[in-house]
Amino acid sequence: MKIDEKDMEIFSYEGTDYKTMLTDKFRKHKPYELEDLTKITAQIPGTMLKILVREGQQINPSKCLFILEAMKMKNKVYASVSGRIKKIHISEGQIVTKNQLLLELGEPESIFKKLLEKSPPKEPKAPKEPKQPKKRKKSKRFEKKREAKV
Amino acid sequence: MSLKRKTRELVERREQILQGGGETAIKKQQAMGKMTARERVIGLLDDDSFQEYDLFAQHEGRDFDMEKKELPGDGVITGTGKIYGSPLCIFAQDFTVAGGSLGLMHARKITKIMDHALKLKVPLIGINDSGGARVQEGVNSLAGYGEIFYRNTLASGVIPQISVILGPCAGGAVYSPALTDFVFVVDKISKMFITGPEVIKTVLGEEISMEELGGAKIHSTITGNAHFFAKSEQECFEQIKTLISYIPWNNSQRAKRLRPRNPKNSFRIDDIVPVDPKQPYDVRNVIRAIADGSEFFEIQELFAQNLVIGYGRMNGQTIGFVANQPIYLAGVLDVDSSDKAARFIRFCDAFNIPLITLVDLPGYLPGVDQEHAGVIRHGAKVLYAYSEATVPRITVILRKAYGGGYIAMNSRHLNADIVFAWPSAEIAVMGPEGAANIIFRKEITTAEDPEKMRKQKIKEYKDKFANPYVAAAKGYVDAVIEPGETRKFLLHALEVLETKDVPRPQRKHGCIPL
Repeated sequence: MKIDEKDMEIFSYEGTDYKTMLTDKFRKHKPYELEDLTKITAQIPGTMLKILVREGQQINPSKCLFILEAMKMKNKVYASVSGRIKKIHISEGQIVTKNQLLLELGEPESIFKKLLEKSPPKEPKAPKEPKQPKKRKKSKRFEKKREAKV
Repeated sequence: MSLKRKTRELVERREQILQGGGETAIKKQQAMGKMTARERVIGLLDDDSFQEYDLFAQHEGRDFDMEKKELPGDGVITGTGKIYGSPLCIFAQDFTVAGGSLGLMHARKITKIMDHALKLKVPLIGINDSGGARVQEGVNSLAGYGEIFYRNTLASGVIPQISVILGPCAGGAVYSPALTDFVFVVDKISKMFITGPEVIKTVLGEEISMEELGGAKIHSTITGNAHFFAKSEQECFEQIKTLISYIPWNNSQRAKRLRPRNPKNSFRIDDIVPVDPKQPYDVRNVIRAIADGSEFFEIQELFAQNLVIGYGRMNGQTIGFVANQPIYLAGVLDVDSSDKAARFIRFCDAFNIPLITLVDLPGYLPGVDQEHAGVIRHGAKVLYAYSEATVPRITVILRKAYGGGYIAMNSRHLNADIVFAWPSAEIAVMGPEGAANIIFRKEITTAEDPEKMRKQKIKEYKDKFANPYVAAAKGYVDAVIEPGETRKFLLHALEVLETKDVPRPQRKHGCIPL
């Protein structure tokens, strides 16, 4: 195979720019996106049998939101975060396609958020500073011990 | 009745069965652009070398009026034959007979020829063209599949098994090819999948054509389930014949040795490889520059192109080549290329084919998708496969060999038999740019002109570590050699490694991270 300069691209790896071709698979790979947990979508297509919540309601992950009939099975749909229901995009009896948006939550009340609220916000540098004197102390103790041994 | 008359009766009976599914079915097969099963067997094997078994087999279906139906040979042709004079066993499913569907007798014929192959210790070729299980025979057809899979597994690593997909091969049926060593596909004819487009549509609502789901191109480029891609059945048969010429009959033999030849003069190493590790070149030309007759038979040419595997010959003896391909993704290792390399290494090890590894890679491919796809587990397969292999293992480090990638590519540390390096080799934890940024971070950030300092430090690192001599000083590289003399050194190494014998601890089998 002859190398055609037109096909060459720059592939940057650990600060080095390599001249090379990209494989189709590499070119097609999807950039990673953080999943939006406030948007509940249908994992499989089916029929919306029952809606068990209403807009404005506060829900948590243990609350069953919908019964979605798919593959002759009645599937219960849950959210993976807590929050207040902002909008329900579906009504009972409706046909649901895959990945269809079913429900939107307002601000998520995730565990992380709750934890953040409970513990007062710290300055990002705050935990670093007390660490340094600790280290010094340790090394001093260590030195003392060594001295003692000597 | 005289013997003559009886013989005539035999001929008549045989003639009838040789028609397969009859004229209409054969015409249908031809309309799909496919050869009949019998044409395939005759076309693939040496002239007049086919001995058929079980021509008069009768199917076992007794329900749903099946007992009234005649299914010639029960939809499969089995027997022994030769390719380039090498004996082998073969079966070919006949789509013209009940859609090549697999019933009990159909499966019995296949398992019988598989047992035969294992007994004779000769390769097995299976031509798949079947609509799947014969539903009328119920659980008997499932039993048939299971018995085939079991034999595929028992034969693995004992005799080479080759699958040729020349039609549909769907559902459970596709696991037989998956268990074999080499899968051949033909464009627009081969279709392989576990669940078809219909089921996918009803369950997930995703619409896709058969070709896009599991056509020949998909399996050759994306899934890696196929090893050889051909545009026509004829081309496919030529590929099979070439492969057979490179591999031994079984695991206790060596591949047939041919007359040694010199590489062609048109492949000169000095003109192929640029000294700057950032510049690309086609590593297959390096293989051609060192292999007999400059012949290289590539496997999985279209899959994970950042790594090249395939067969060539040195001194007339088959050699398995594994090489990073700098022309794609700078030659990095990733999930797919790791799987590709590991499987090939293990086949070579099982069938006494020495390995030559050509190294030129910056490391592993970074990315969320790689990490989430389990590059740790997949990458580990390469380490495992090399470490486990007892065939002669020779490494030539051509240029960059950085980080974990260097260790994985049959390094001295994995107990390679001999590691050569070219003077252009750079064996280091990472490339000079990355290393300088880490080691001299403080100097660079505090410098008056950070860019100038960075360049200076990169040069400093390059001068010190971007060479093969640091590794050679530690004995990690056995010899630094002139690129132009690579073949000479390899020939010598292969000769002295002829008597290599490494005992391994007794165990049932290792637990390779799958």
